Amino acid sequence: MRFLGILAAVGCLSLLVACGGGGSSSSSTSTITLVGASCNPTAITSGQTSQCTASVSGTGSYSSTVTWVASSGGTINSTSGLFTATTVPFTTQVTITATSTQDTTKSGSTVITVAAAGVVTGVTASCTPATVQTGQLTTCTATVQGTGNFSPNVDWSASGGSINPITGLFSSGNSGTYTITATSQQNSNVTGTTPVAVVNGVNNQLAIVVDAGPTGNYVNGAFATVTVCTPGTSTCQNIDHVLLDTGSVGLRLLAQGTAGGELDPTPFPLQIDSNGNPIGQCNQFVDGFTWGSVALAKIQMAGETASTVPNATVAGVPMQIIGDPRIPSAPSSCSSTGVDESNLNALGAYGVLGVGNFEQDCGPGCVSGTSAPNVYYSCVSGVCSATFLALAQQVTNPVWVLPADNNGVLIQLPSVPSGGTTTVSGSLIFGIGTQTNNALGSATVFDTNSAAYFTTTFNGQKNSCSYIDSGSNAYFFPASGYPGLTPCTGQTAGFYCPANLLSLSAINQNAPDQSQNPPTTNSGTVSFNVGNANTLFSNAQFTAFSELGGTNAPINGCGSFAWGLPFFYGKQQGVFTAIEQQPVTGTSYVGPFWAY
Amino acid sequence: MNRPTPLGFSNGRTLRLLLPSVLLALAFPAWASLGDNVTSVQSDKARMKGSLRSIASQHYVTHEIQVPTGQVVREFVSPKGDVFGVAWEGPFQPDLQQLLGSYFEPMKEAVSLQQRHGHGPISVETSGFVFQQGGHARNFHGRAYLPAMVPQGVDVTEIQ
Repeated sequence: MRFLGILAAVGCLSLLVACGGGGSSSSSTSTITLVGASCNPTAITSGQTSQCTASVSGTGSYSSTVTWVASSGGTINSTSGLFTATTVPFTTQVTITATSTQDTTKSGSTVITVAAAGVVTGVTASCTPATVQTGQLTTCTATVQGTGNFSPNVDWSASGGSINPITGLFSSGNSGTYTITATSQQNSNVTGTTPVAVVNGVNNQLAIVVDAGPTGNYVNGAFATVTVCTPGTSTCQNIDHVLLDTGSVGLRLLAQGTAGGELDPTPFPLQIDSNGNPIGQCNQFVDGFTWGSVALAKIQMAGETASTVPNATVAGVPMQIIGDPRIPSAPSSCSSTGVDESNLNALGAYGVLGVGNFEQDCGPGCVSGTSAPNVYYSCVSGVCSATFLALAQQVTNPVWVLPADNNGVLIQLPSVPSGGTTTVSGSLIFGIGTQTNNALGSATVFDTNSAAYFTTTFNGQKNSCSYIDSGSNAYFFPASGYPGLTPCTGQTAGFYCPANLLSLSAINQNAPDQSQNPPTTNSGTVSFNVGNANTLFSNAQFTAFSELGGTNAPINGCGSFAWGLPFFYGKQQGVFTAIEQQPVTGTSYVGPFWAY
Repeated sequence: MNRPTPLGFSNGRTLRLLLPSVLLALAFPAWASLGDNVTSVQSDKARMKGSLRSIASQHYVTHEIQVPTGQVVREFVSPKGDVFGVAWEGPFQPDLQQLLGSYFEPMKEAVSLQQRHGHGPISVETSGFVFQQGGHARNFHGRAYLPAMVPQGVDVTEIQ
């Protein structure tokens, strides 16, 4: 109205006539001579507005008040002149008329063009996954159908839980079936709904303990108890003190008997090749090999059960039974690869639970090629010969084949005081971002390359084959000339024995060939301490040391900084290990990566 | 450090040694063992049917063997013809028994005597023998050398 008043005042001045103050109090001599109308903007589409103003001219103390009318295509406020366009089937010329209230025979008109807007005819919504565990995110998407230039945008709402109204990310801490609704922003009468089932997640938390292990001399070893059953049955055995290892893949259990293990192998069917011959395996660790059979088991950890492998023709998950007496002893092509760790003394554990970044232990390198590597063997008449083996038959990451919580693991261990402690307890949590207890949260994600390495720079030296490994019992890294970082001699050779506790730092950085698109460029400084191994080991009761370091050679442009178990102690959220190709719902992250 | 050039010769002595050994090696793809004389290459029965190339630098010759299963093995041969160092990398462990020769059993013995209290990369250092191996599943790298046989002027970090 202020704008209208100004226009009226300008009209009075231009005519050099004393205006009587306007308003409804008119003088008997006042007349209206002209009414003009204009609107801004003059072209709009459905739902938009245009402000119309009138200029009234007259004589005497005339009234500048007008009444507004629109011919079609929308509504106009009769006093303010604000026009709002409705949806029109085709482009429409709307005549806007201002009529003087003092003299209704005087009016002025202008035209607004209202463009035909699209029409929303329907909305379909869907959420992936449609069934989630409590706390897990699901991503809802909507498709808006319509004609013409309609808006594809929707607003999200849910009958419970919480949903981001813009992104459609939904989760609920309580089980139940929820209705997710997508409402067209253009036409709130048009909606689409889809149900999401929220189920209580299984117990995905397995206790782990750091102690001296079955040989009584292990340090910085995290052990779990794993249950293995004959496939399709409830005939099971519990195996304790299985070493938790993010640096390898697959479950390996020591057989009873000369190997010194707990497992009775007999209930577990042997993996066989196409000729019915049993499969043996020479599994290669960095410090030695384990020889044994490949056998099939149902694997149970906490509330989780791994029963089958994709594309397999038999039930059960392939594992290695180390020292299985049902197959011949290790062939020379296996024993020539290094130290034999196929016994309790060398292994220091009743088995190894490999939950690293790969789906299988060997992968494509054992499926085909020029010649079969010395990993899988076909055993005929007491002789085992290297053979290729399909992925579905290889020893498999048991986490990857869980029905849910199968994209990786989270390991949580408390901090360990300087000088060490007797024992610590923690958790192996299955899944990443699948339940309330394994959200990535504010953890920093570090992509690995295809070999599951990233880069760690220590004392100016770049180690491009570095890794995080719960199965290594120290920080193993090249000294790189750092003052005072002297190796131990004698029986503790391989560890560092600095004269004083050293406060060190290193920088972790994404691998150059990253799986993320766009690539992430995370890096972060890690502060850590290295003490004298001989001093640390002097307390024989202690099994957990956060300050244990060891040597590692910078070899072939592939120097390694192995962030062993000490790295896991006291990490606020824990340390995530994500499996190759597996996404984390609600994020753009896909394994392989580490996060902490 | 001298920049190695494929089959390049920095002095006459290397030239005299290189020609027979390379020709023999190419004729009989095989590797010698740590501490052996390179002239024994011809009597080695090839365990690994790999492709070989040889690179001469000022103080030694490197024989590089590409194994079909993906490993790369390098042997470092002194002007006297001694294999003073070996290095390897790849998705699988190489035949360390063949590579280390008479040092294979002592290596295993030394590892078993160490109080490792668990698992991780290996490092064995005695006055006569050094062995180091690192990496994890699907990718290993390592080296071994004999300090007493390393030619004068060679930095042991070159053995890789």
